Amino acid sequence: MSMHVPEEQLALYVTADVGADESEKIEKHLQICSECRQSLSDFELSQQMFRGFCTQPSQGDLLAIRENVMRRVASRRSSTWHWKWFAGLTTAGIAVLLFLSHPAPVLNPSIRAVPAKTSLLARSKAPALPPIRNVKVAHIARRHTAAGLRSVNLIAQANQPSLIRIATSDPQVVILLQSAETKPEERTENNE
Amino acid sequence: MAVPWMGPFMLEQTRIREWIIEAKTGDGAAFERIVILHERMVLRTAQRLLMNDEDAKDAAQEAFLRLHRNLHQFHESKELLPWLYRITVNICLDAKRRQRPSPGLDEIPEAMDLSASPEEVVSTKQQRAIVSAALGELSRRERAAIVLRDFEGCTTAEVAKILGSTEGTVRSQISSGRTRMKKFVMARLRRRT
Repeated sequence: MSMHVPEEQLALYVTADVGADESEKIEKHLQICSECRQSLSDFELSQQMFRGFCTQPSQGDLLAIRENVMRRVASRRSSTWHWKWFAGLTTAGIAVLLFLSHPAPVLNPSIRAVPAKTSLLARSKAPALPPIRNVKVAHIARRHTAAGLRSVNLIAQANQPSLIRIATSDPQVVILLQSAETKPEERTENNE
Repeated sequence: MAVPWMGPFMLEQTRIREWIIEAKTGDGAAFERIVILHERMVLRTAQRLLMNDEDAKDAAQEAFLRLHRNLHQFHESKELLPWLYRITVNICLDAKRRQRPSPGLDEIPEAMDLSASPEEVVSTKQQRAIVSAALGELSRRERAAIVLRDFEGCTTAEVAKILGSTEGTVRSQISSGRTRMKKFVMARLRRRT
């Protein structure tokens, strides 16, 4: 190697980051070239300065960083849980509000809603109602086979056909049974 | 990873994996053990890349928070150290753009005796200023490669892995970085001779 060793190669040679063949050539050249030896010496000097620069962080700094990190990790974890609780409770609240505010299904517009008190009264004071035959289902809002029985009300009013109102566990499913044979005058007598 | 100062920790790999698994389940004590084991390396790397203690502390803190945030993505069969190095380097390279001013060149001595060693010629503070300024002359990628190779003692292959680059590219960055730093340092040392 008669020409000078490129500085970029010396920069790698100084930490033995070149291949064995290349390293051997550089070594041979350095024996005869003072300029490249000076350049290598400069590289070694700067590397020496770099090593002198390698100070260790102080224990106080490390402790401060660790405390900050762990505090923020803890607060992040707790805020995550708070958020999960908040989201869960909000969802549950919305579900309850929707459930409560959902309008009761209008089963048959021609049938007037009867207060529960009236139906109870009618049930207690009208034992002699004729048996209901030829019962037809007035209206079923929705087929719901899994719904359980909640209450059964007999609804009897003057000049109106008697009704049996079957409420299920599903608020949207109410079954009304209407008597086809009940006559207004019969009911009037019985109610008296 | 064959980093010299990491020698004793190489035996701890199994334990580190256990800590990672525990930390993933939300065990704060396990995560703190991971922090304690790596905090020195993270802060030191950040200090050398950013040349500003306050920025370095912020970066180290952010590195651990990012580690915690992304721990679920890390597979414990892999080594944590290269991943943590990469997180730290990325944070520092991003932070470098909006960094506070680094120590000025006014701390560099006016005249020096080249017959003595650098330690004898200039104080530690002055050396720090010169090296800091020299590092400031490098591109971000060159600086990262130099810090990992010359300051942290990683091999070229390890640096390539950390930086997500090839060994050839890293060797080229180290070579050009060292050459520029050498010129800068020697120009400061010879200024008055």
